[in-house]
Amino acid sequence: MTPNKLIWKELRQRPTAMVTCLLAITLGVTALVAIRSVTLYSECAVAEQMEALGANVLLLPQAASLHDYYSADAHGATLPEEYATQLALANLEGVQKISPKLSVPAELGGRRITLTGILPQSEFEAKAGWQSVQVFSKKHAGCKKQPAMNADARPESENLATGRFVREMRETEVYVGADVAKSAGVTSGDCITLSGLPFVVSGVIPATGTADDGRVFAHLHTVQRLADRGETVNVIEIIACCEDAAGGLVVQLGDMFPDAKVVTITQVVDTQVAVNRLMTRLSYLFFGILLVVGVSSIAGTMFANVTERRREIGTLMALGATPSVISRLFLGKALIIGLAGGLLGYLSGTLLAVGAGPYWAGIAVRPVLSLAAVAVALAGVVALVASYLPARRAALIDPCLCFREV
Amino acid sequence: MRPRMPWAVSLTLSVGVLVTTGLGQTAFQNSSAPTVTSIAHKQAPQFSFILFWKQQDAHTQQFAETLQSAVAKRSERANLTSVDIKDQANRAVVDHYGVNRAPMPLAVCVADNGAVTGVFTRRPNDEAVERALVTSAMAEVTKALQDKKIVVVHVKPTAKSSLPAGAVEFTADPAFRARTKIIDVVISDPNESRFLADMEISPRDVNESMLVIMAPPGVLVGKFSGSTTKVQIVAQLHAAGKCCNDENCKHNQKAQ
Repeated sequence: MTPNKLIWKELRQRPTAMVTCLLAITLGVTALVAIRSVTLYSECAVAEQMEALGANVLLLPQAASLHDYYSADAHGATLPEEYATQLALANLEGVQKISPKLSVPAELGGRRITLTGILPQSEFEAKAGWQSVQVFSKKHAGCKKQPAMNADARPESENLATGRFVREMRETEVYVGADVAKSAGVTSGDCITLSGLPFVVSGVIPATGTADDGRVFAHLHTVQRLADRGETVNVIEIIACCEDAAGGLVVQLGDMFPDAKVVTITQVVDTQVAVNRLMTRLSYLFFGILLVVGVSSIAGTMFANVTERRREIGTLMALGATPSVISRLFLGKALIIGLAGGLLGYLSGTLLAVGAGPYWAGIAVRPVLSLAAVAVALAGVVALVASYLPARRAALIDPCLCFREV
Repeated sequence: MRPRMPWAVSLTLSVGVLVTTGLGQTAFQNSSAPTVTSIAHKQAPQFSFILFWKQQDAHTQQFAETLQSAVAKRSERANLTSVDIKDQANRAVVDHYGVNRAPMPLAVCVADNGAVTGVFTRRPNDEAVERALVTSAMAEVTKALQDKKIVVVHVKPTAKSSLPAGAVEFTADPAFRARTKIIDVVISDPNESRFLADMEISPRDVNESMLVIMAPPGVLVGKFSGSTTKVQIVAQLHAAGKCCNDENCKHNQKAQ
């Protein structure tokens, strides 16, 4: 009988001990893989947000709290719409685009959706043009507006997805988010009814992976009329030309609108980064606790196993097995349990992250293959370390003493 | 009968003229050749201040009185009209300027060519009102920029100087021809001394034609010598306003 056959036979004969050890390792690895997967994807989402929105500033009502940039308008508090015009007229340095938003609940085909009112940039361009005369007096110091020479040829739905603005919009048209379009079976050119009013779908917004996928965008003034909300907005999104300019804007906006709250994307992201850091530390803490439990469990099981198998060990040694062969038998068993636990832990952790990620962190999580190697290797090493002393003890057993006990 | 404030004069024909003038100017946008405006010997423009208001409160009262006083000092060049934005009779002018949801009171200064040369959301001071009364060239440039046109200001040493070859080529380019306006300014024109001073162009330093190019909504693309080629102008135009990438921008990290 080869050592490998002996190990498999031993595993089959002691299923309870094997399952206990396997469970301890699997749980530890599951926690580590699940939390790390969510954290990794959350970090990617944060990095993407910074890339796309690094220079954006939000003007919010004082009462509004903000956890997610893309849901900045998901609160009941409002600001006067005239703040947006005031901003356009102020011609502040570094302001590229101004996008006021008002969100209200609505129904489309029996499904609840968020109807978001936005103003097209054309509403502000004329006001920005009124400041043309400043070209004579304002010397080049800070960020200037880009020359409006070429009309953006991109479809408005793409402008909404990537730039978070539309250039032109009629009061009877809407742009539909990817998820809403899919669930309601709506395509560009369709006619839909929202709160009793007919609208033409001018475009379906490409999927963004954000709350915008579940929205329908209409003209702000139409939404205000439908919701009977007066000339108010939930948020004014200011697209600044660069992060440095965005930082400078905060002070000016604070002075201009003392009754509003000014938040930069960096501040929003800082909160998310802090949550990610906490989750990472938490994953290591979980893994540490479960590591101690797992090591104790494996070591205890292995010590018990060695004690139970004293006679068989003595017999093997009497038949010519060397101490290293005996050690290898126990370490091999531990390694198999460790590798299996690592693999199972990776699979269950990944399933947990993929299933719960959207609820935990509001992001889509996919399997992280690099974590599989880490999980299996780590679990194998832990199992070997935990079994080292029991294996050493088995190797030092004196066969004569064993036979005397018989 | 609703009480009227002393400054709240009724709409005059001038507002109708302003609206018509403004709308009429947009017809230029469809022309295929660059328009050339020579500023030399042109009369100083007249200005109309339009005060838009919604409520007859103390703030509006103070705003109106300050503006009225500043305009009265310049009555030979400017007049004041007030517009109650809630009055349906004023709908056309309110819609034309798109101010029905703007913070009130609001005043705009409009030159006789339809260019908005000043906007006041806070109580206007004397200096700000004076700055809104721009020269003929400035009014033409402002109007062109507000019509979304690229402006080539040809600063020439004499009235007979011809447009430099680079500018001729640029304005002949199909990509820019229809949306470019050329404005001629003679360096010695005393009426344009403010414009030249603002552009930091000293008459003593200009011996040959010079170009100042501006793009909408209000970007100074650059000042060019008469020998500048079309390629250089186009390159500068495309580089303009790229914010922090511009070496003149204080936020440009590389430039520091």
